[in-house]
Amino acid sequence: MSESVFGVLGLFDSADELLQAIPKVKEKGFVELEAYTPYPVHGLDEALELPKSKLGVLVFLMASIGAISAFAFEWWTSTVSYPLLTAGKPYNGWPAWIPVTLEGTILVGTFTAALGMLFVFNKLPFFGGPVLNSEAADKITHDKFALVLMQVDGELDTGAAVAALESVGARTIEVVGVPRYEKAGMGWWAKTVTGIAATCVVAGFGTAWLVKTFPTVRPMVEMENQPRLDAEAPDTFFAAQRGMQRPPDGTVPRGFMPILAKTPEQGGKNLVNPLPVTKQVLEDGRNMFDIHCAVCHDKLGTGKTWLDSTYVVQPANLQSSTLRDASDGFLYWVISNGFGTMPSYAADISQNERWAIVRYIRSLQRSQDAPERDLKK
Amino acid sequence: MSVGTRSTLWALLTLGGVGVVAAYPLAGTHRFWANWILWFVFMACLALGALFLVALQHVTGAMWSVPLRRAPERIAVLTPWLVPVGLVALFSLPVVFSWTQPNAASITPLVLKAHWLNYPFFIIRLVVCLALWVLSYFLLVKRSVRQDRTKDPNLTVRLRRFSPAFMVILALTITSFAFDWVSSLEAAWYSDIFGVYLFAGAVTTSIAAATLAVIHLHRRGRLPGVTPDHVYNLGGLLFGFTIFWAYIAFSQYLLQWYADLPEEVFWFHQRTSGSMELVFVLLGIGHFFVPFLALMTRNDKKNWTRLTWVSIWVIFMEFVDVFWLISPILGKGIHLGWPELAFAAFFVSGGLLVLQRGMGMGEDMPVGDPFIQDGLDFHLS
Amino acid sequence: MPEVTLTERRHVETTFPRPDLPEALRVKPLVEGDVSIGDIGDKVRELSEAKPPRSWYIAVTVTSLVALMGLAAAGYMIYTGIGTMGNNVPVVWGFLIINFVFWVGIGHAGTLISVILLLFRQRWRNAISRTAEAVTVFAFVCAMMFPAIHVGRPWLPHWLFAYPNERGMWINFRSPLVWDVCAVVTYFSVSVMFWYLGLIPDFASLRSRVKSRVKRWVFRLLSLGWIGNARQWLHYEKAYLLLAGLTTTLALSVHSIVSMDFASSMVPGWHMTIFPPYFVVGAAFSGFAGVVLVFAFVRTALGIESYVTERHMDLLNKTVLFLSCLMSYAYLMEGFTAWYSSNGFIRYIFANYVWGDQWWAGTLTIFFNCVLPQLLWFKRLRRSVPVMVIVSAGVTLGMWLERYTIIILSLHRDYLPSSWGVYLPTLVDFMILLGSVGIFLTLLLLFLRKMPIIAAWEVKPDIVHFRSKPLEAEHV
Repeated sequence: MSESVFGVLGLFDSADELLQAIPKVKEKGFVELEAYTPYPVHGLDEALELPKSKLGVLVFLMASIGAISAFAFEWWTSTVSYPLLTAGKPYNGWPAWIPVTLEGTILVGTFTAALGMLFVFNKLPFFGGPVLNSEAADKITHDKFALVLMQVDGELDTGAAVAALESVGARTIEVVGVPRYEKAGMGWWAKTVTGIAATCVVAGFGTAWLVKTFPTVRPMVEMENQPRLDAEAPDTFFAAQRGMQRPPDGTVPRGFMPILAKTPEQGGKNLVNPLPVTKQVLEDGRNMFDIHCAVCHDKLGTGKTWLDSTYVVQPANLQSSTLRDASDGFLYWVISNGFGTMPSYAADISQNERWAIVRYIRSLQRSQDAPERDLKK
Repeated sequence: MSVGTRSTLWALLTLGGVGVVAAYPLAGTHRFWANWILWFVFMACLALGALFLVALQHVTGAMWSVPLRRAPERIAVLTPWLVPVGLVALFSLPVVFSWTQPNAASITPLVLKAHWLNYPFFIIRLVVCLALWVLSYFLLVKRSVRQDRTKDPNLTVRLRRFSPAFMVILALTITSFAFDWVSSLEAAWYSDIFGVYLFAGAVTTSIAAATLAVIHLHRRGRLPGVTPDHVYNLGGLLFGFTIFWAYIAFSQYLLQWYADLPEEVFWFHQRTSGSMELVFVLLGIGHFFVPFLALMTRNDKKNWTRLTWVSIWVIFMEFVDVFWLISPILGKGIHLGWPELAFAAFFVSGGLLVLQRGMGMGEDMPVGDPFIQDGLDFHLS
Repeated sequence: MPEVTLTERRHVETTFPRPDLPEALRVKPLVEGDVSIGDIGDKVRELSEAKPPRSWYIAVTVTSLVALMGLAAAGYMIYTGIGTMGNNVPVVWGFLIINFVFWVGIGHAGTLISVILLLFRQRWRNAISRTAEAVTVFAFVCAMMFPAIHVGRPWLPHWLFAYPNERGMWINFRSPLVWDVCAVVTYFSVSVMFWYLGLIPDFASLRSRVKSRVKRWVFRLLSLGWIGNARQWLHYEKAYLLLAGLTTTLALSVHSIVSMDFASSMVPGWHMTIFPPYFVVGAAFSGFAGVVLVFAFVRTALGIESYVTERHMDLLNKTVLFLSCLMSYAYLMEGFTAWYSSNGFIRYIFANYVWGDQWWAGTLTIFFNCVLPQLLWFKRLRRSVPVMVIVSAGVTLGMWLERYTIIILSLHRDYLPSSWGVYLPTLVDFMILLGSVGIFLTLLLLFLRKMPIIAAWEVKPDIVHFRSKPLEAEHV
């Protein structure tokens, strides 16, 4: 009758009494019922004809999405985004994706189950429920069982409800009023959201201030400043006051043979090509030539490239008779030390590679000036 | 079982038998023995899994399974038949096992295993396993059948005392069996989870077989008082052990795939490349995903029809599993032809005839068990 | 009772007589004494509200000091460097990873008790699940500290997460260490969530009956306005079961993934396919032993014998025994397969476990894990508190030693004898280990006296059942 009445609540001492009371109360015409128990009572769902929970469907859906997403993400990062061979595994090592896929499925599934149950289906947290704020609330969560007869189409005969509950054996009856917040209304949400936001802002500013005021201690200082000799750093250990010592005079790097020639002519006389004439050597020579030499001297060694107009001095024509007659050592010396405008390529091309280039130049020269016996029948 | 079915089975048995005998000269001894071992292993898995289910109920003191226990007890009737099949299988030793071949003396890993893989020890192990299995069968099943008449609760006490010992026996013998009869076909390979792997498959199959037996009896009204709630538990066990099998199978595969050691991975390579890849994929999807998705919800596990076809499927998939394990010893390709058909006809019809005889053993429910009424009262809350 | 005759197979009577059971088949009920559902609620409230005895304060002080010592040692180690610990070539993974696996193992206690036993409908889990889940959460708090400090540069933890770095490279999803990160983070968050979910109805029960205003407000907030509506319970139970199913899979997979940290390698003794289930069984083993230890002390100290009965301890010990048998099988299989593999390195390493230079590690492991728990075959010993404490403490120690054996012994003598070395744990190693025990015990002591230690809402229906039907209701 009154709009501020939520329902009439009756307390029972045991689950059996509650279960037996429900059909009797329904016979009396009270069909809008709610039951409250301190633990889940089996048979209650059927007595109240509650529809089954759809939580399982939601969890299955979300868990499937979790599984597919996790697998797809792993596959994508390792096969498409940045394929990287690690430990000889193929890019799409699908057995390796399974553990994380499983964990992802379970993570999404469990969070959906818990949070879905709380937020979506039970609409918790919510502190405004009428029964929550009634006097019976303490007993319900402790050891009593409650049945609430609620309004039907806004109408409730409180007197009849009380009488009905007494007749089925309820020990205590209470008329439950509607508290300030009947539903989780805008006011409550506004307060909650503002509160959380304010906490975050305060926490953020506080952390920033703390970090600025108290500088972090540098950890593992000995890992960063290791007591060892560094090549380019000063050090008091040696008399020279630095880590790297100056090598004695006459030291040569490994694999280095000094070029015992001061002029190209001397090179021509003293230096001998150590490499055999094999296909491998010629190919290596060609590679190096194309990379370093062809820019100026052209692929066939003619010296005529598109740089012609840029340079004042022409690159040498390797096909010329002078250079054909020049010995290997001459060419080698020129590559190593430079000639005229041509710089030294000693830093870019190792000694063996230079000899290979020379072999290749010889074959280039022969290619443009082949004797008749070279022509195959 | 009707007369018509029985005669069909006898006919199939005869036909299959002829095919089996013919396969020896016509299909080659390798093919013959590979099939024989395959069916030996499959039969053993079924029988041992059934004994495991019986012992499990005694060890845990479960009530819900008491009315259903006669089904795995009857399936265990296959156990004594393992003796002739196994003893005949011994003749396959010189033919298909890699450690008996003439070149084994030059393969170091096989030489180093010779203390375990040699004729006398191998045969002794088989005989001991068979003896222990038959003994366990008598101690577990025959006592239970005797209890139908005597209604003596002390028999349950003795069954409960023996069951833990049986579990130990089973653990050791099924491991030895798996290592000997499946793993040592390619003796250079090793995997210490293999015993558990075969066990997982065995239990899953026997749960499926027990479920089929229970549904079969219930349809004929011979298990009054057994409700969908009881069968739900069987469905739940089938679901759980399917997951367990998949877990063991996958972790074995993943670890050997991951380390990629030549001495291990060749075994998997044989079974996941070429046309075997198809079987491998079928196994993964059919032995795990299909039963998993089919039995996921509570209602699915209670549904008689669904349980029937899932059980049949699981038994078929276990056959595919054992096939996948054993047939690659014959070389590349999927070896499915008339020999396999003949062996299937022979062993399936033979097995069904044995099981049919077993159906006459004892009452349809262990009526002498002191907890039979508690078991029938069981309902899911 | 009318005599039941079975004349025709198709018309079997469906009512059978219940015979008198011999002593061996009789079981005690799961709730003892004349208690009502209000009593358990009061008991739980009392325990969380009452002023603890002096011994508790002393214990908490001691454990807190030990914890602080451990944290200080960890801080010192991070400041000075990894060299303060025993790690060195060839044993590059030492105490820190042992402790991690150890604590993750113990952390499986709660999940297995709470979740798997729920799926098996074992009602004896109801009285012990809350504390067991607390053990899980606290063990995981201890466990998660170790990966954080055992990396060389703990100030770069963000490198573990799945984002592309400045070169566009992602984390290596093929690595078990990455799987580990996902697994442990998932497990921890799910354990906490499951624990909290179970606590909601109990917080609701406490919120109005505690005396302190602060506590009242805290419990009111934490209970989220729970009132026990039938609809709420409907969805809650569904969520509980779904979580149970998912968390079971999680528990099994997490320790399997931890085992793959080792098993996916080629180190002799590590690359055995039995590792995943073997580690899971080992985790359950140490977890159950841990729970036995907690309850052995706490049952009488807190006066909860009516709810955590002798039968509970008997069942817990039986489970410990069962798991010990499984562990024995695993050790047997490892030893046999080591020999069967014909691989000289694997054969050597397993022989080394039990009669090498650190033979005591392997031998004591087998003694504590396989031999000592066999005492639990005997009913009288299962119910004796000193015996169960010794066995469970032995199991805990044995499981730590097992990880020591596997990790240290396999690493210190692997393929090349010229790389063999010795592992000498330092004081810092031991202090960090003890510190983690201190943290765990501190949290546990606080829990035992400040929070509802028994899931009252789960035990209440058991009380109701056992009052009306003493024996039958439990058997499912």
